Amino acid sequence: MEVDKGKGEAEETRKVAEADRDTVTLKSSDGKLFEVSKEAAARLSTVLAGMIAGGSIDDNGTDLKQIGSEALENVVDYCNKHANSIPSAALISSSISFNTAPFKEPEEWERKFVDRLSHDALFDLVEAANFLGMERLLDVTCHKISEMMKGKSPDQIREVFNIKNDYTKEELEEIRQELAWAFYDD
Amino acid sequence: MSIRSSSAPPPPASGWAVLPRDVLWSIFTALGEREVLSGAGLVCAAWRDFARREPAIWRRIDLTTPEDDVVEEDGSDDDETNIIICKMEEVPSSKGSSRWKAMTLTAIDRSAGQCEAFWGRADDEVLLHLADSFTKNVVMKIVDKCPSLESLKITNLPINRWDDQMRYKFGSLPSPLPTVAPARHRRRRHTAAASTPATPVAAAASTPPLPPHRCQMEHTTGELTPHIYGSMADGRAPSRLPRQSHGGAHSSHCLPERPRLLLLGRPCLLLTGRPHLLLLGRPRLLLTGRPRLLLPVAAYRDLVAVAYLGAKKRWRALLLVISFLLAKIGVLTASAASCLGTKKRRHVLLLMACLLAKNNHRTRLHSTPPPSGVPGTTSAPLRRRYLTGRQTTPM
Repeated sequence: MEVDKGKGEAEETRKVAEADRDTVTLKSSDGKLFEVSKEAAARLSTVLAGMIAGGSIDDNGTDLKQIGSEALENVVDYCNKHANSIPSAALISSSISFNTAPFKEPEEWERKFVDRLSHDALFDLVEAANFLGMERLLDVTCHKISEMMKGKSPDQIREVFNIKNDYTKEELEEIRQELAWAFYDD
Repeated sequence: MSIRSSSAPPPPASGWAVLPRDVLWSIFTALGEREVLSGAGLVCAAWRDFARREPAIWRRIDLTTPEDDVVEEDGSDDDETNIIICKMEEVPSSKGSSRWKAMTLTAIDRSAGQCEAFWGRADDEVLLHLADSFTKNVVMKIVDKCPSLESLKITNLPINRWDDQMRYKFGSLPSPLPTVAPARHRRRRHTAAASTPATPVAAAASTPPLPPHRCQMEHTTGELTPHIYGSMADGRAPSRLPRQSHGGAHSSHCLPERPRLLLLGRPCLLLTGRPHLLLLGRPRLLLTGRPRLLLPVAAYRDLVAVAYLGAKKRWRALLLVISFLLAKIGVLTASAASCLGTKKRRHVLLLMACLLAKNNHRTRLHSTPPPSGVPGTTSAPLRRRYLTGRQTTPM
């Protein structure tokens, strides 16, 4: 009886300690571990927030099987930088605005953060952000991607992103009819 | 631009082509509708499919270009009101315009009636397209909500594309519709570049000249009916109008040259006129501040709706209305102006008096002399006559 009680107390203290920890450990698909502040993770990622609230955070590294180590590193990097930067009023208001409201411009550091990424890294990051429900990071990366597409023809976009033109002949004909303007030179 | 046709079996789509839809949505909205239409939306089958089949992308359609001299509101507090301003195209049929128009029509089509805000160039056809997409949405909702509805009478409905979805809906109605015979309205979607809207002259030929300030209305199934009020021909039974107005190949696309007030039932209020138009969005947005206040349709006729806006918005809406188009339906504004303060009212009335005076020269627009004196002082009976025409329909 006594022993059991002692055990229970130990369990209790361990749980408290766990809850007090201010970082969470994330494990990438290839087994690498990353630490990120719990506060930032919960604030920036709806998925992680849910996991923290639901207590499904593993002390030895929460498995994120969908995310490679490189992308996860970027995610963690972003969270850390975000925690250090003072959120501007614009950023705060963007999170509560109507979801079709125009996207708030990325801040300078966010711009730099995505600018240094290669195409592949950007792709992985955008998928990771989507998977983790990191709305702001998703916005920033998508903004970057859209900038890479701006003013480009479909051909040029295909080239930049290495996308195959996979239209069937029927689809091509359909496009030709439906989108006649696209074939004007001007 | 050329799109290569590959005879070889399509290679496996690369990562970018299979981006999750949420991501693609974010990218496309960040890109802007113009870019999606002419670039990103054509890159590969998956992206094109997404651009075409996701109306949510097209809720806000902004097709303005930097060169466009769009009438700009400062827009600071317009988020709620969704006042949609377009620049009217002065020369709608010139070749250079076909491109923007094709883009615009496609964008509106893709919005599938969900468009809530629109910025861009517009001409009569584009406008009617917008109106269609609103109206269609409403009709669909009505049919959805009223499973036992047996007949739905809609007069002068400018819907010109009864697509499969629509036909399916109406096919489920037990009896053929008395006034809306889908077959009559069913029309192949125009390949936008090929469509040539009838000129106002042609439209005028198929229907007698429309008297100004004429708004007839027909209540058929009470609140359920999405009424379309417009200038209608004198003494003509409204039920005959669909046939009349659809006599010409494209006449339904054409607004008569004189301004016309189209009230598309509850969902939206479309005011058109030259050279500008003002489209006030759905009432829940238009009458913001008090979204619960759904005005009886008749109230629209006096534009009393404006009264329910906040002072600033009301003022702005009125100014827009006045300066753009209500020169010719001045009485409406005058009565709406009565809810303004003295100073503003005087401003409005002055402005209107100027415009009315100017319009008096164009006698063909005014078969009846405009009310004498300041419009705001028009007596109620005169105003009513003015609004409904000589053959006042019982309301």
